[in-house]
Amino acid sequence: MTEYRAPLDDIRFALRHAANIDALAEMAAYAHAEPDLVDGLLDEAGRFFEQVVAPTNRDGDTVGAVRNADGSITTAPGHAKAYGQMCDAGWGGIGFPEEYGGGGLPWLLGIAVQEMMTSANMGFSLCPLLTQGAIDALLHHGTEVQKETYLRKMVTGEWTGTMNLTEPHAGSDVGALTTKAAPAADGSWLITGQKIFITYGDHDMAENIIHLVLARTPGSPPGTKGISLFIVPKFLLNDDGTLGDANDLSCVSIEHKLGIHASPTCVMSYGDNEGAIGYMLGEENQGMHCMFTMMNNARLSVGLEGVALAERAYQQALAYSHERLQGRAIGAEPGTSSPIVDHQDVQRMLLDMRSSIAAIRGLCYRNAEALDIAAASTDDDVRQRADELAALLTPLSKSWGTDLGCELTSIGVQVHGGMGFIEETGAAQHFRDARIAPIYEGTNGIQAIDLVGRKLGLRGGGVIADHLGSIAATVASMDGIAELQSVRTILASALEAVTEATQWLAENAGDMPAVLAGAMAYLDMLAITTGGQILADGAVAARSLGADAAAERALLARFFAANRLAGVPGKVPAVTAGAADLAQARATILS
Amino acid sequence: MKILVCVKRVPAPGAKINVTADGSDVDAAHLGFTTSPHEECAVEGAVQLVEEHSGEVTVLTLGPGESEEQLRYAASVGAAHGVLVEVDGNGWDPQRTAAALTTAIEGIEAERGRFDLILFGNESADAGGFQVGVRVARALGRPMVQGIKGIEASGDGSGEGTITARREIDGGFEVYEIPRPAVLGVMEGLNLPRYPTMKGRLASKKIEIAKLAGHADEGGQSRITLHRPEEAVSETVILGTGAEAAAAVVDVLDELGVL
Repeated sequence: MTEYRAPLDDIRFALRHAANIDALAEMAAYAHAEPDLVDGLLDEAGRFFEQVVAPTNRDGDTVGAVRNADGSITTAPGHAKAYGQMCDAGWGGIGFPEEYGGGGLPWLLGIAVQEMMTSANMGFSLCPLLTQGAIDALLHHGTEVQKETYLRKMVTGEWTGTMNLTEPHAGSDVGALTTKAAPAADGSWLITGQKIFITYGDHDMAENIIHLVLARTPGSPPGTKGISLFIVPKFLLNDDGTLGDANDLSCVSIEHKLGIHASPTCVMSYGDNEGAIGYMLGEENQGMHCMFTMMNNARLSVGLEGVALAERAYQQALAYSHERLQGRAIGAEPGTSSPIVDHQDVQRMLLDMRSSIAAIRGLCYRNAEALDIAAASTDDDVRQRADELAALLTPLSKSWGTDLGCELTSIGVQVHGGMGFIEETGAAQHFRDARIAPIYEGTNGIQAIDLVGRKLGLRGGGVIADHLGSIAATVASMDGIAELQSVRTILASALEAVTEATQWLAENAGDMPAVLAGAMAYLDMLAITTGGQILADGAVAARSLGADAAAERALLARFFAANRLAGVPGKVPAVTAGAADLAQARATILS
Repeated sequence: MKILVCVKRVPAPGAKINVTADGSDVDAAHLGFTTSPHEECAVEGAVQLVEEHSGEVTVLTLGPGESEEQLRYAASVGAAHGVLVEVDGNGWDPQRTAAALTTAIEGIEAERGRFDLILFGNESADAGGFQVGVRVARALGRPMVQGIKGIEASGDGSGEGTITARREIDGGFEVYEIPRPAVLGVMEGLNLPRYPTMKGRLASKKIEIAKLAGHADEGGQSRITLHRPEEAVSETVILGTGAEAAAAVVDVLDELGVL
């Protein structure tokens, strides 16, 4: 087990050279995000998550959240205390409006803080993450009264939030849900039904929980068009805002999971007695629309979980590789054992982790920057372009980020050798915790469908064309830079391959099975190429930051180019294969 | 309750301190700086007293322009005002520092009223002179106790009344009751300083730092040179392995007198 050290230098580099937080501070909405404030907040957040939250990670895994005989949930030792300290410090509210007690700072900075929180303890981080989602939905769709009633306490974290979508037979197909909402005489609604997989559906870290529940009103159309969203508090509020009676809802069990044991994943039952009292959020039958408002943010946050866990796994693997003596490295004194970091294959694994983390962190931060510009630019055209870029990048961040999270934490186990497979080492926890992220918040397969089905067609294909154009500009920016010539060549080949695959998808748009068959391979191609672009941009920018920074960033870009980016052209056949083999397999091998 | 806390910008404790080639000063090129740990507790103690009794905390420092960072840090955990007595270079021994701080405090009090309590760190983390607080208290004609790990204020903490201060001695505590206005030198262990909040950080950006020029005659103490002592090297002697080592272990235990 190693301690977590917030990788502040890498985070700052990504904030300034993958995104451009200083440019955001020039926008009126973020004027107070000056560099010294940003640096001060990062230092402080780093210290807080290192010292207060990271030490709870192990108990979160080994003890986990427990459901007691009386139905209440007790979180793992230290979690409630750490959560209280985090609320006092205000780290959950960085990106939310100042009028509700937030910091009014760019979401990009919030993402950096969220990365540290997630590295420190992913199971813990899910409580603030779900609360953020609920706040987002309330901010965009709540009435003034609803905002006044709930937001302040949720932004500070005194009350937490949940999202209740899934039911036993309504997972990825949310339209199949059956939870009912019946109108009550006073304008509220009575909710009845059961929801599963509800993250932090009940817990002991906050005094109230504001559930957002998707349900059907009487006579609503079938499918996703007939779903409405409701605010269902755990404790109803008295007229003066104090906590009143318990609502008719309960956590009837919690799941036993592969990872994120600190996070109670609840089966929630609403309305076992007279009906749980709820208040409609947004318009009737607009529940899916309300949910999608927060989807870009939430999907990006989940992609970031891959970055965060890979970073913690990397730190642990790097430390172990210096401690563990095994075998004699080439050139070492005869009769001695070398630290395994001296072996070339271990160096390769560690560098694969380090360079891939830099690439995916850069992608997530650039994605967050686009969301910030889309939310606050005063120039309609700039805002529109940023909104489109965020829409394009979000499935890449979510899917590639979470797939890399699994892959890199697995490499972290591998660096530990046999000890990595032993739970006491702690390396396995990161690997287990990472495995949920490709599944929830829209499976990675759904991200690929979103990319080829919705995002490639944005502005008649103009959005993807602009993005590929920006990669071409990165290629050109490396002209004449000797130490980046391999990167230039490999990125140019990858760009050519992505362009070919994009054209094929456009030409075959009428053959939906063929497009969907190649969707995942295409997402990977585009994501890896964008990752290569971001590392190349960083290497070019670092040339003005001194010899050490320039050498380090060039090295990361070269390694990533040779080890991951170079594989991109090899994925073209998987994109353009069509669906015939899949159909044949369905009739034979998969029958 | 009006409280003043005097803080000092010092190299981060635990850092490897290098000396400039001519031995005249600490080489600050690769050093991180922070507030002296005793003084972090002093700021926290002051903020807690104000939370209990109402009032406000002012922080004062004497040092280079960069010391503003320490004042803003104090603001991020609850101080309302910051005053920087800006000085450059060496030659600020405890006597001269205390004289300049005394002048600054008299100026601030003339403008904004008397402080009910002035807190110093027991000693700074770098020079460790143990003098500045005592000298300032003496110059202001106020009672002073050093080594404090507990503070309470009578009444609402303002105006007439007393300060109760505790300090550790072997096997117990000494408790002092001293009239306000008073001066205390506090130590780590007084409390556990809080982390700055996100809101506190934002607020600390907005507070105005008053800047005063530092004037005082040179004190009687001057630095001749600095040098870094050689690092102690620990040695490991392997006495043997397995059963063969037993005799050697017996010898060592015998030598230590435990047999």
